[in-house]
Amino acid sequence: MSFLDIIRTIWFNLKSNKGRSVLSILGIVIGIAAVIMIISIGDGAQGLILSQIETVGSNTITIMPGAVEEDGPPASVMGIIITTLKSDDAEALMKNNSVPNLENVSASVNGVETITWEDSIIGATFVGTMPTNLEVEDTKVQSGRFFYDDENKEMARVTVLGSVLKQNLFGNSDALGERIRIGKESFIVIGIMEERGAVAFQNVDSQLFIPLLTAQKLMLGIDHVSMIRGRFSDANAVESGIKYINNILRDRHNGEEDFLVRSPQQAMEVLDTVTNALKFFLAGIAAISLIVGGVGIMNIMLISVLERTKEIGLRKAIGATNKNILFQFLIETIIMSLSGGIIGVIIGIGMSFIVFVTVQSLGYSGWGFSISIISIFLACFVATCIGVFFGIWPAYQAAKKTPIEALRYE
Amino acid sequence: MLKLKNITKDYVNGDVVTSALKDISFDVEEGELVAIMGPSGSGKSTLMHIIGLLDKSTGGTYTLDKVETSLMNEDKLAQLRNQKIGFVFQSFNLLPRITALENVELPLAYNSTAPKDRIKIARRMLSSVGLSHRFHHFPNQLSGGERQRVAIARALVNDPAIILADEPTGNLDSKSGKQVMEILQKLNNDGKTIILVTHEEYTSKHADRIIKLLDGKIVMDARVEEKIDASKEDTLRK
Repeated sequence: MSFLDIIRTIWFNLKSNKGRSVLSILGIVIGIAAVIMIISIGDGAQGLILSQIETVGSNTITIMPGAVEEDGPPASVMGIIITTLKSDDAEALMKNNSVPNLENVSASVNGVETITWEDSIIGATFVGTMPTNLEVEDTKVQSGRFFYDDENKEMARVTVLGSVLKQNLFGNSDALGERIRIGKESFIVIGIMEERGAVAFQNVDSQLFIPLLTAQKLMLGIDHVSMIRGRFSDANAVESGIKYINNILRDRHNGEEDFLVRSPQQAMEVLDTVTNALKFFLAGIAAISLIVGGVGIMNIMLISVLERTKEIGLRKAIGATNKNILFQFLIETIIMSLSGGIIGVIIGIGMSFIVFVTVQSLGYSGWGFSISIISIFLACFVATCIGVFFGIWPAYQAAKKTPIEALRYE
Repeated sequence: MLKLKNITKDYVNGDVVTSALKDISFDVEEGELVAIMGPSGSGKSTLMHIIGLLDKSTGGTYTLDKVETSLMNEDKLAQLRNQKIGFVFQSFNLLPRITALENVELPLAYNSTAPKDRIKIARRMLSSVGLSHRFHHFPNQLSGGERQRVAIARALVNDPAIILADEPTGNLDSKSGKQVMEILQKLNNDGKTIILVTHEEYTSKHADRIIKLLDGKIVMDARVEEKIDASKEDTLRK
C-alpha cells in the first residue's frame, strides 16, 4: 500500500467524521496558537520595553546612591533613602576632564507637591535639577527659558513646566511670567518644556523643574541628591567612562562604594533576561495544553479503532499486514495533530497581529510584530511529535487485532 | 489445489481444552466447487478460517497452491491471503465510505498495483458481475445482491487460486441469492476453484462435492448426484 493510498484512506475517514475530527484537534489548535501568541506578544512587549529604555539615550549613565549587588535593583527602589550622593559629586566628575568623553552631568532630586494657579490645583512631581539637565536629557525649552546657574546658586523661585502640566494647569492661557504655588512656596514660571512623550515609561511632560538648590533647601530640607545623570559624547565611551566615574566617586567617598553607576545598556540586559524568563515560562504553561490535546486525540483514535474493528478485519483478510494497519492509524493521528498545529499557527499569527494593531493604535511604536520562522517550524514539529507519541498506542491496538476477531466484531 | 492433512484446532480456556476440529484431512482439486456443510458448532467456520489463512491450526499441515502454510509468519500469510484467496462474506464487508469501484480496488492497493491498472482491473471485474452501471455508487446505495456482487468482484481482482465464500447467500433474498450462485457457478465453469461454506442443504447442492462436518469431524465427503444449475432456476429455494 503506497503512502498516497494511506493518505487517501485517511482523507475519506476524516471527511466522513468531520465534526469529530475538528473537535479532537481543538486542544492542539489552542495549545499551538497560545504558544505562538505568547512568544510573539512577548517579543513585542520586549521591543516596547527596550525602545522605552532607548528613549533615555544609549550614551547616558545614571548614578544612584547606595551600594547594591551586581545586577540587583538599587536600594532607592526599596524605599530606602540614602544620603551619600551630593551635588558636589556631580561637579567633581566634570572637573579637569577627569572622565574622558563625558560631556555633561546633572544632579537631581524630586518630590511631589500640589501645584496651584488661580483655581487650578494639580498634584505633580517637581524635579530639582541643574541647568545642564537640558543637555543631559537632550531636550529643549519650547517657550521662555530654562533657569541659569546663578538662579540655582541663589535658590531662585523659578520653574519650568512640562508641556502637559502647563496645559492641565493653564489650559490655553499664557503661563510665562505667571506665579504658581508649589506646596506653600510661590514660583514664577519662566519656561515651558517641549513635549517628550513617555521616557522609560515615565511621563516627563507632567513634571515641573526648579533649581536644584531651591528644591533641596526650600522644598525638601536635604543636602543630598537622589540621582546624577551624565551624557557621553559617544555610546562607545560609556563602558570605560563608568570605570573612571567609579574611581573618582570611590575616592571622594573615602574608598566606599556606596553608589551605583548604571547605563541603559545594563538595564536592557537585565530587563531582557526578566522578560525572556517570563515569556518562556508562559509558553511552557501553554505547552502543557498540548499534552492535554494529545490525550484528546488519543482518546478519539482509540474509539475510532474500536469502531473500525470490522474494517481492520476486512483489510487484513484481503492482504493488509500489521504494519499496513499500524501506519494507517499512526499517520492518521499525525495528520490530525499536524493539521491542528498548522491551524494553531495560523490562528496564533492572526491573534498576535490583532494585538500588534491594537497596541500600535494606542501609540506605542516600539511594539513590533514578529513571528519567527523557527517558532512556526517548531510548532509543526511538536505537533507531529504529539501525533507520533499519542498515535502509537491506538495504532498498535488496531494492528494487533486478529482478522477473525475483527471480522466477527459487531 | 489445496491439501489438508490431519488438521486439528484446539481452543484452550483455562484448564478446559475444546477441540473444534479433530483430524481433518481432504484435498480439493483445481476447478472443483466444494460445499462445506454442517450445523452451527460443527466447526465449519473454524475450518473456513484455517483454509482462508485467517487462523492457524493447532496441528497438521495445510498446503495451498503448492505452498506449505503452517510455519509462515503473519506478514507472509497476509501476502498469501492477498494473492491466493478471494473472500466472499455473508455480510459482504464492504467499506461504507468508498465507492463500489474503490472497494474492488482495495486488494490491489495491498500488493502495490499501479493506480492506473487498479482502476482498469476493478472496472473489468465489476462489469463481469453485471455492475458496470454502479461504479461510483456507495455500498449503502446498492441492494444486498449488488453488494454481494461487488464483494465477488473484489474477491476476483487478484486472480486468486481459490474463492472462499462463507454463506454468500445467507443475507440475501432468494432472487439475489440465485444470481450470486449463478455467478459463482459461472466462475467455476471458467475454471476457478471455489469453496462454499453453507448450512443450507439446497445451496450446497450447487456444488460438485459436499463435505459435511459434525462436532469437528468429517462425517461425509461425497459427490453431488444431481447438481443444481442456478442459471436454470428462477429463485434460490431455501
